[in-house]
Amino acid sequence: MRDIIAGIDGQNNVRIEIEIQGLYKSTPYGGIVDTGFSGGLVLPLVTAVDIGLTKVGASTVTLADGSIHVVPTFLSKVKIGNRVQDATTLIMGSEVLVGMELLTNYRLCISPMTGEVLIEEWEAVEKLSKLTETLKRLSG
Amino acid sequence: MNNMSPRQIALAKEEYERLRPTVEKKYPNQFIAIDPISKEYFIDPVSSVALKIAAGRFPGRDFYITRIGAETAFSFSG
Repeated sequence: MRDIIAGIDGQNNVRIEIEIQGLYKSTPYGGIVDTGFSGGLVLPLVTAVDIGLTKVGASTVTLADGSIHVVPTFLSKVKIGNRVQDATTLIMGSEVLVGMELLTNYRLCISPMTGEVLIEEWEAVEKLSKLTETLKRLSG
Repeated sequence: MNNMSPRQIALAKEEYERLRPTVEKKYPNQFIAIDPISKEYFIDPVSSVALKIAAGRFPGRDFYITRIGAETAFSFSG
């Protein structure tokens, strides 16, 4: 299992290491985890163009102030740990944001007190639980 | 960058309004990607899956994505 690098940065953002795979290249980013974002990924336009993502249309988005916007939407492949997932990618702002749709298959634990962030693939967590159960049974 | 034209978006929204009574009953809270040209649509609980199927069927076209029964496809909570 490959460790996923994650942590809390100087501005108190939770960041995780992701690799965005496009037509031209694959690039690692320290994406900000945004648990308030219901979608997959947000990228600045310049990043999407640089990597070579495929445009697939437009999505409607409700921002935190309640305003509604139509934003250009691309498809990308995002690698977190060992898992590569397709991600609906909204083009807006100047940060790389990782939303809840991309984190569905992970367990995320944040400890602001220590600055630790633990992110594990769900399969790995399940395997570990099964192994622990088996060991408990075997040891009586 | 070329975004979907307002006309394309209006056509897709019109199509969604036509489909709304049926899809809201059958696929609540799922994502729908609508092709404003053919009026074909693709539904899945995961937005990227709906889009991938749509883009596979009509490569190069622009689809309008929304969440069935919701005001918008995605949201940012404060």
